[in-house]
Amino acid sequence: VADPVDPAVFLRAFLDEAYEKQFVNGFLSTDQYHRLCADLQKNPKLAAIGRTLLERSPKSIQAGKYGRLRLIHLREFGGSTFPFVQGLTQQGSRRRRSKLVCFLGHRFLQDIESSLRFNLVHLFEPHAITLRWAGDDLGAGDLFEKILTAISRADLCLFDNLATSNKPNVYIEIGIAYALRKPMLFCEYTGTGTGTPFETGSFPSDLQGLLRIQYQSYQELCKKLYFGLPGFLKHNKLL
Amino acid sequence: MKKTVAKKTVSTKKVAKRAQAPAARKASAAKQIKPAKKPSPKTMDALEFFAYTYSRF
Repeated sequence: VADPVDPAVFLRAFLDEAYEKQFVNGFLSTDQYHRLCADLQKNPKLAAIGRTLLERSPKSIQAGKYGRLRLIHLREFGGSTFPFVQGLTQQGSRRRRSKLVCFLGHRFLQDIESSLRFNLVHLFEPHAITLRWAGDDLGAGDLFEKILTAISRADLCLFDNLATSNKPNVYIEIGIAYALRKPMLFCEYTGTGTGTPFETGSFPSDLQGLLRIQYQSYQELCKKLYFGLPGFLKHNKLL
Repeated sequence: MKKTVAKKTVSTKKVAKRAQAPAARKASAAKQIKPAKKPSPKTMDALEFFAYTYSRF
C-alpha cells in the first residue's frame, strides 16, 4: 500500500493539482486560483485535516460547512493501491436527475477488470454515471451485436488500451463510438517496459488524431479523469 | 334608508397594543426566519472549496 508519507504534503499536492485543472478548464478565475493556492501553502488546518482523513479512512469527515471528504484507496493495475481524496455529493443536490450511462471498453484481464472498474465507480459517483461493459449482463448471444447496442445506448464511452498488445479489440470499439459520434474518453497507457503483461503495442495510425488521456499508472489516470470530468461533461452538454 | 351603525368603544390599552403590533410582529418575524446563508466560495479555504465543489454535482 502506497500511503502518503506526510498527509499534509499529500493533501496539498492533491488539491494543488485539482485546482490547476479546474483553473485551466475555466472553472476558476485567476483570482480564485491564486487565492486557493496561497491558502494551500499557509493553511494551518491542512496538516490536522490530512491526519484525520487518513486515520478515519474510509469514513468521511466534514470539511467546512458545505461538504464532506473521505480518503479512499484505489487500485493500481499491478495489484498495489494508492490514496485518493473523494468529495461526496450531498443528497438531493444533484443538478441532473437522470443517470448517465458510460460504456467501458478495456482488455478483459482480471487485474484490469478489478482495478479499472472499481476506480471508475468512485470517480463517476459525483456525476451519477453508471458503467456498462461488453457482456456485463452475463447473457449468451452475439457479443459484437451486444457491444454495438451498448455503445449506441450509452451517453458517453471510456476506453483504456492497457495491455492490448495482441488483443486490439478496444480499437474496434473506439471506431464504433467514433462513428456514432459518442462523447469519448480515450485513455492511452504510455508506460515503458516491454514483455510485461500490460504491454500495449503500437497505436493504430487511423486513430492518431484522437485526443488521448495519456498515463503511466492508474493513480495518474484517476487524477486526470477526476479533475477533468467536469470540463468534459460540460463541453459535451452532459453536466 | 340609511342604516346607522353603533360605534364600538375601544379601550386605550387596546389602541396602544394595536399601534405597537406591526413593529413587534416585524421584529419577531426577523428573529424567527433567518435566511439560509448562501455559501460564498470567496470566503472558503482551499479544503472547504474542494468539498463544496464536489458536493454540488
